[in-house]
Amino acid sequence: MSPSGTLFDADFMERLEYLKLMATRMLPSRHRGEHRARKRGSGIELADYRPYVDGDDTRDVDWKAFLRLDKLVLRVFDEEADLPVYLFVDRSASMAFGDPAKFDYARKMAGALSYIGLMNHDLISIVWYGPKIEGWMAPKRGRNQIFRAFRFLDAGVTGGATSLSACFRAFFGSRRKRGLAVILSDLMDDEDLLGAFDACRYQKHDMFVVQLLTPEELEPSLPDEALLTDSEDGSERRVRVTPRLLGRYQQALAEHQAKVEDYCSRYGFGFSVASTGEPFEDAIMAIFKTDRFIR
Amino acid sequence: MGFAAAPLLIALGVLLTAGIIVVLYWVRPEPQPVVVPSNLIWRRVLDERRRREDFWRWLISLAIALLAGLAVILALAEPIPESGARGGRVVLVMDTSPSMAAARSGGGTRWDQAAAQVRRILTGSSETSEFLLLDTAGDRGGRSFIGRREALEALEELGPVHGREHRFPDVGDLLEPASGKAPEADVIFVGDGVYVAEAPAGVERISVFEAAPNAGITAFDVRPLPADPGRFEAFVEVVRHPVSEDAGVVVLQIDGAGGASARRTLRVGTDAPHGETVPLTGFVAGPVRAVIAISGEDALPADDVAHAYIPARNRLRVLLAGGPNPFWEAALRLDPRVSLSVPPPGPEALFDLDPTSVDLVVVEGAPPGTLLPVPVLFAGSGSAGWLPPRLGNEGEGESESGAPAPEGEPPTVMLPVVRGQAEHPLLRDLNFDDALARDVDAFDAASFGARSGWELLLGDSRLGLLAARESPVRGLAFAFPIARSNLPLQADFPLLLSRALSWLTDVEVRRVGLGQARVAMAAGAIFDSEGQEVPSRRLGSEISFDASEPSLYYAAGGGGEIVVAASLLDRRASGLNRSAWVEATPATLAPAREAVSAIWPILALFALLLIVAEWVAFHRHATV
Repeated sequence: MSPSGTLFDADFMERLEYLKLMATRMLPSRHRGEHRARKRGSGIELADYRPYVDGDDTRDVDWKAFLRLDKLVLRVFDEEADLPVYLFVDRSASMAFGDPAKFDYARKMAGALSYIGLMNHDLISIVWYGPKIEGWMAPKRGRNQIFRAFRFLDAGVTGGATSLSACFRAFFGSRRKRGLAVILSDLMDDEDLLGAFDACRYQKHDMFVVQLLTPEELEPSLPDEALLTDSEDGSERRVRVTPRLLGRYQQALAEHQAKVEDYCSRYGFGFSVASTGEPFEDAIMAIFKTDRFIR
Repeated sequence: MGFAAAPLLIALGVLLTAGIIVVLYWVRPEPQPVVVPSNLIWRRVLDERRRREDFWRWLISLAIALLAGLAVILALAEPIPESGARGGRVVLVMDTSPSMAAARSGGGTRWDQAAAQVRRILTGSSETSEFLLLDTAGDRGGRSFIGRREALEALEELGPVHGREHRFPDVGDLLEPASGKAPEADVIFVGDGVYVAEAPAGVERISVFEAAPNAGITAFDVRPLPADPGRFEAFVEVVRHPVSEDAGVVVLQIDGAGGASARRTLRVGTDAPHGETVPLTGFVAGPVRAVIAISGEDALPADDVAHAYIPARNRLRVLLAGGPNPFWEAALRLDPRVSLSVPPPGPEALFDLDPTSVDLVVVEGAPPGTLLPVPVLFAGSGSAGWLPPRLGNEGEGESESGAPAPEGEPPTVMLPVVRGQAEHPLLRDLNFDDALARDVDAFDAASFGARSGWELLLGDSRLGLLAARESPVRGLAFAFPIARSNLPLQADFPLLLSRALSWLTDVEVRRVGLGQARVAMAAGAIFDSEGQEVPSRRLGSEISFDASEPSLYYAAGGGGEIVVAASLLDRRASGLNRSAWVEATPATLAPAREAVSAIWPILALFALLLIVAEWVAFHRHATV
């Protein structure tokens, strides 16, 4: 497998193999796709009924059948081997910052998730978004689609503002198959961020939010007197930087993250923060550990 | 609280400093542009925080800077605590007697201490107070009250004064007004009680007296040996006033010209003068200085040294005018100092006489027509403008000094000493009762007076037989030829001639105390021992100058030179432990200048602490 662009080079591919291995080791008894036969259990499509035995999940008991038959009957679902995964990658101007740039980091994460998904025969869709949907790769399945995904990711450029709510309203305004929406963004979105999440939640999609920040954003290092210029809207703010002000910044950032995390926690969504100063595999592993991407 | 600096200056300093600090706080440095991914978080932080914590932190920092700046300015203005502040009118009497120059154990002198006390009173007083600053020497008189600042300036011009009568000034009218009202002013006397101890009732006395060890020279004289005018001895009187018992050893060192010196170790009792006579063997004409030293401290250095001068010349260049004269030649050659020259007869010998090559001219016969630039010993008849007027023939044989003369011989006259001149340096202890003279062309005794410059030594109320003059050039005039007298046959004549040679040619030496000195010289200048001219002023026929330091001064002018030996030689000044006042304790005195300005280091420290606290608070993130 050769890389299709500079972003996805041989080194990246080696890391993908490592991630694939780690994914199989982390969840050895809960394979999906080619790694196991159809399994009754954790899907959403009803496949069969069977008698209840001790230890079964009582949430799957068919209580209507119990009333009719006076016997505990368990509903068995098909494994969702083709659960769609929607990868939303923020391509606004703010994503161009950092070394490596947050955008590159997000594209690598998206590439890795696409690889793992396609290897598992999942439906993978990638969406560029800024103030609106800037482009998307239609759902693909099968490992042979990986290079298409890489080319799509490699062609991405940054610029402009960002509006996740506009993007979600547009994307989920059309009927989409329920699946997992993965948002790769710095979440520096001044609009109604939680409203955007609601739009996704109302469509009964699962969601995983990854906030990408550079070390500079986590711990700013600024001159004593600075004129801060917003890379997206060009607005300027003059600040006299003091240790206390920096503390207040970190506190405000934490509050911002806490708001998103509280939302995700309340509705059972996943949330993690990734620093571009750390290897992207660590961020991927953090997602794996939430059991949301690999089941 | 008062300030040593001018109020206007302080106000300007405070305004300027405050202005600069405020401007510096308003003028912020140009911000450095930084592009950030998003201002979303910064906006939330700044909108919430800017108008609260930032403003207060800025305000507190500005207040700290202003406080520090104000403290620095006030420290520079030298604040003075207003303890014991006085108001109204205050008369300050300063003791400026010589003993006030005595050193104190804590450093400085009694005068420094007294000035500090008065400075404290002045600066601690209210702005409306008025002062009359007087001193015991009378340099400051009058009854004009002045402001605090003027009094401070006037105080700086005062100091210990030597050579003057010191007494408490008359302030009775201020203490006891004629109308019987309350005293017009508080009178404060600051001194040591050594010279001036008494003060009128109602005067507040501030003592700066402190017992201090001192040894001093109270007399120093260089005089010729009676039997040998060419040799000298020094008399030194030393007093010692120790604070505690000690060995009483005083080392006396006398130095003369040409490296001559004599050294004595004296055992001097306490508070009793000790006299010591030291032969000045090997000393030549010139300056002589006596210095004493004791082990340990000496409170008054001015009395540790005294100056004198050996006036005698070792070689006298004498010109005998009027041609060969065996009598004078024989008489002059008896004196070993004399180097005699006898030019051919005639008046040419006295033309263009060079004072640098001749020390004395001896003339017998007709007097020179004009005043010579060198001392003259004249004997004979005839008139000249520079001589006293002659009496003429009318006086012959009619004087009370006259003696009966044989028939056909010129009358003879006796040579009586004029009343009051027996102690003249030329005549002291000499006897000429048997001396007679013939061919006398007597001076008119009535013409002698203060204005003539001549004084009569021998003669009576009518006849002038021997006259002497000190200025402008010393002269000695006999009214008769020596050969026509039996004076040379008298036993005391060689001594008279030797004294006359010395008196005529010796350098004139004046001994003065420290302070303002006067020298009888119509015109001239004063030079110190280094050859530098000393400021002086002419007072009639005298020159006045300030001999403030023990030293030799030289008055030169009018063809003559006078050596002035200035020494303290004052028993009262040296006896500086004899105070009628109680000794001042440190608790009653402000330690001079330091106490006056004791607040400024506190203010400076306060400013420093503020700056350090601000710096630490900022860099330790305590407040930012």
